Amino acid sequence: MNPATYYWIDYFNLPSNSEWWVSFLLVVFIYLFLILPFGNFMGVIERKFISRLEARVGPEFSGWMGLGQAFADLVKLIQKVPRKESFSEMILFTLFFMILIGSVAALPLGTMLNLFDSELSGFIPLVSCLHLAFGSVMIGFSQKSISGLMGGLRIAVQTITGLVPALIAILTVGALSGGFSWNALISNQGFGPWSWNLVKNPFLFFSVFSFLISGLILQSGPIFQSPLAMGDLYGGITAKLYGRRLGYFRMTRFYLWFLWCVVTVALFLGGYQIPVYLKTHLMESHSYIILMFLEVGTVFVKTLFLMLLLKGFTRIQSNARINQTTTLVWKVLLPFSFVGFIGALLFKGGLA
Amino acid sequence: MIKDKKEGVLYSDYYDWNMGPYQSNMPVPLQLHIRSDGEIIHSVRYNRGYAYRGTEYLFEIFRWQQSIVLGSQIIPEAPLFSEWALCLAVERLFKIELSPKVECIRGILLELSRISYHLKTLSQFCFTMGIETVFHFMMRERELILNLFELMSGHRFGKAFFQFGGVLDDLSAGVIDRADKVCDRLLSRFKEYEGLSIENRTFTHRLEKMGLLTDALIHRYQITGPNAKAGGFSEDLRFIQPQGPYQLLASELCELKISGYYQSNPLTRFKYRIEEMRQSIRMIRVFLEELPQYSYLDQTIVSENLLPEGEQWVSVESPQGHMDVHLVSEGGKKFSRVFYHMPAVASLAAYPHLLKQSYVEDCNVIFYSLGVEMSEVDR
Repeated sequence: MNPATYYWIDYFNLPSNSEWWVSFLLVVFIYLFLILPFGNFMGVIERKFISRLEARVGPEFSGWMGLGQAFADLVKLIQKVPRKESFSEMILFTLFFMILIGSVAALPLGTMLNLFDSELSGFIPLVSCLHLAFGSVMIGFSQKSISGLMGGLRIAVQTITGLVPALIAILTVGALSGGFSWNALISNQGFGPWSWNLVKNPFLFFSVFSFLISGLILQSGPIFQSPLAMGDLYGGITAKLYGRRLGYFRMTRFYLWFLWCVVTVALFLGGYQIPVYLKTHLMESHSYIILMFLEVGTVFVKTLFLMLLLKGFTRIQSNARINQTTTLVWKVLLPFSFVGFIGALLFKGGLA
Repeated sequence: MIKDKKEGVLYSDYYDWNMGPYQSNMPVPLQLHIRSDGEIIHSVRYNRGYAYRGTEYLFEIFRWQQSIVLGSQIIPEAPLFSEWALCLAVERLFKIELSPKVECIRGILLELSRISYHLKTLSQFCFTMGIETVFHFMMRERELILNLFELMSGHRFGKAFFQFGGVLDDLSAGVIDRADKVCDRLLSRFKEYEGLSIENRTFTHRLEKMGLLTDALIHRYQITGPNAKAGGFSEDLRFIQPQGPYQLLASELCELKISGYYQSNPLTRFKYRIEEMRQSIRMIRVFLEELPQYSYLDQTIVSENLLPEGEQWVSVESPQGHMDVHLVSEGGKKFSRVFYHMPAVASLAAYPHLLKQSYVEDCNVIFYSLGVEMSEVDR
């Protein structure tokens, strides 16, 4: 039995054989009541932030302060059903999405919500990105068009190139922390910024830079979105995506970028750590719900700022061509991640 | 090409794409036949004429006094230039001279219109490159100019403000101060655009190694305007044969020239357009200084019934290059023939050559770097 499930069974006095049900309900709770509202809120904040940056009016049409805008967009997309949808497409757009959402159980959102922790937890973002990349390549190839074919091939290229620097960055933090489980990666950090991995070891600035940019490349995010170009002429897989399929695709991409930022927070920015005395007090008084919201709030606030920072950065950059992306990885990100790896270990060895 | 011996079928290594004429990512109606070798373009052919409106033919149908409105349809984004060329031709036909005040007003409007056109071209280019922030900034500054036009003429693009033999009306109160402030603001913003684009390594690295407009291509297609001037061809009609308002600048023309451009690639074309906007602002400032000296405003000649018999060929420097208008009159109430020669046609003709050996992703980038407006090509 994982610790989070144990806490909740203990809290609600449930029978000990209800582990599966509690885990299932927790996954549903995390996705429906934490991640989706965060996504909605994030969408509004992000669009408002970008609109202020670009000197224009942001969304304020649906709901109070535009908070219903993302929901309205999703409903609009879901209503549009493709004229002809084959079985394989249905598999691609629903099953891939559902499997990816399964990684919610292993997200480092807090002591009360981490349902799965193993010695390979730190590699979950890479696995999820490979999953998305494989699905996106299949989507591109299934379109039977030149732009879809090119988009699929570009995704494959970007995934292969972007994977290596991200892997080295994770290895760096893992080597410093003595393991790749969330417990090992987060427990040696604290609530205060001075106790975060990024501040404790200055060489990790190289690693966090490589990790975030590699994430953008792996997920074909802003700047590196040539595989997803909307127009046929650019060659990309989203040219033929519309309606429900586009809705699924966007939700998946948002979730994966959220996952990547949460993992960055866990690896470098203190994760879900709150002040020790507060956590001890809440655990002793069995105030699990307050503890859960405090930890999740900490992660979400850090994630929000990180996502906004990256969004602002990407909005003033021009799109990179596919060959520019690969050049950037081999000439900048790989050396950066190696410098981060070697420098961080030497720095720690020197201090020791 | 590979030949299958068993079936006798020809296979090709190339992809053949047919794009357009109405494609979501091509705002212009243009049909492209692209043959690419993977990501690299092998050859391109294009078909145009999908936005043909027969405007030049309409000149022969309407009375000559009404044709100024047709003139503004030739360059919808900068209608004052096509109006000015038509006005010049008619005024030469009538053999009339305009007062300096009219010329000053025309000069201010023309150069503001040039800036507006360049801002629109560059914003489209930045949008295609993915820097949406610069796109929004440029559109914001363009609004200032359009608001100024609205204040002067009641129309956001200043359409039909130029009349044969003069302008529609005197400038509204406060326009001079406001235009001066707009110029100040634009000058400070240009630095911001450059900071966000030219100083960006990804941006410059992508643009400087593609879409090269060679000297041979410029000569072959008679390309003019910023596309040629960015490659070192400094033939600007405002300087080599000043006419209309530009005669007032004769003493300051040498200081206004732009130099230091030798290779026309998308990056230099981008830089040149920003530099030309700065040049336009310097011209506007001269016109604004000279304007208060003059008080007499000409009466327009639209009360004349019949056109004099004759033929005129007028060349002006439009934002896209040398724009010519050929006008024939047989002495009636209508023009016998009006023909516009547009510089965008030459730039479009060179477009397939620029695409060879470039990446598929760069098709639209190269297109917008040339600043071609299909409404000018298909008239």
